[in-house]
Amino acid sequence: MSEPKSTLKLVLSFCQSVLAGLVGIQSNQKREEDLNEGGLERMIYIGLGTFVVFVIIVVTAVNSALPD
Amino acid sequence: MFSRTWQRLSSVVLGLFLSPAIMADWELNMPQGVTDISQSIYDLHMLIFWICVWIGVVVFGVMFYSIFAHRKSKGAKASQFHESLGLELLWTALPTAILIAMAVPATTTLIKMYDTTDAQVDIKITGHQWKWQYDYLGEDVGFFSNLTTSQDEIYDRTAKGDNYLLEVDKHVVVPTGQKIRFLITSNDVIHAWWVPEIAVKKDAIPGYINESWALIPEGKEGLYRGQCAELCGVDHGFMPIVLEAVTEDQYQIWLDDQRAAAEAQAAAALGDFSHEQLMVKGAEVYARSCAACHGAEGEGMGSVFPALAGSAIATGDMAEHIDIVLNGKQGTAMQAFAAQLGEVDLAAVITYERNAWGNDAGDTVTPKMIIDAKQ
Repeated sequence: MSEPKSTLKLVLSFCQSVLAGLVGIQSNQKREEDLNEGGLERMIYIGLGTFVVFVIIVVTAVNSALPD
Repeated sequence: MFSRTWQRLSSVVLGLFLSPAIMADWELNMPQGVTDISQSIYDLHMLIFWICVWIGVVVFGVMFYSIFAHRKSKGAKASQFHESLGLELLWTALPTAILIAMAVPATTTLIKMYDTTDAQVDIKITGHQWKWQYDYLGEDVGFFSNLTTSQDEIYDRTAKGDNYLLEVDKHVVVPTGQKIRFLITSNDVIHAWWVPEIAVKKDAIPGYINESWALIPEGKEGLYRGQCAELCGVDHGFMPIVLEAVTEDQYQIWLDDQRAAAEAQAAAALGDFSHEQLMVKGAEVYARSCAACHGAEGEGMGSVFPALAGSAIATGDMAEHIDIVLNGKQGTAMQAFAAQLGEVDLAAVITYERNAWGNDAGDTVTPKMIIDAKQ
């Protein structure tokens, strides 16, 4: 049984999982860790935040490409 | 039997590849065109083409090498593994990088294509079944452009010319060295105005105005031919485009000529024409504007385009005949020709229809009658 992770480590781990979900690459070991650690709400919040950041990046990229 | 088929097939394939004349005409790739935009599109097309070629070569190369080098007869054993993070990252990151590399020049070109600002010449293009109408905005110049390929060529009664189905009576004339904005719409069904050499291909949709533009560089004066690129009915192939690029000076002279011709046409409508003169002119106008639907001898085409030879309208009440030609007939394919033809042409063609192919109305429609009917 591994030791429980600190909050920061947990958040970083969730971020990593969300980013992995974004590109569709995740190791089986990490996937099992996520399922065991729980924290569905936090995962959803981080997912929504990542989605907002992604939209902002796309809008900024398109606006910077368009002529003034 | 089988070997004879192969022999024939081989002869055809060899003939195709060995005949220089056929090879010269065998243009498979898109044209580079004459504008900066057409060149950008061509470059983009070639870039993406070569990226696809290299991906194909690498993927199939690795695949065929692996199949050959690691075949079972040499004792190769398939490796069994469930996941490989490195490989998964590689086959995700590599296509992403390739897509971004293609998206950057594609987006840059698209943005340029859609930038219709600061145009020096505005031309409104309206698609009709089956002709194009051009209006030079602010210049008081406008006309219809009709196919001039003869019915004899179309029905194989004479040899087909070099520009078969690509000839029109009036060219759309544009100046070189100036940005031209095309405002494209339609009067009936969806058409598409397409001139490959200037890389303009835009849908003409009833009720919408699509914009596009071209800047033909100075020194690139000439004729550029195009076609309708949206299936728009039975004569879809009979509404070509001929764009004539001229110098700025020649363009101004052409505009003046067009205005003078319009004035002369209006003045001519008030003159006197004999029955014989109108019959001769009517035959020309009929061949150009009516024969495609109603047939060269007024025989009609199926139930959609009725015969005019012996028709009750063409031999009956003159006012009704004039009204149908001027305003069309709702619920049928008959178009309104009031804006498409001048008064003299309208009078001539109606006179012709009433007195040709055995029709014996015996009367004459004058340009003055057309002017009165239009009011």
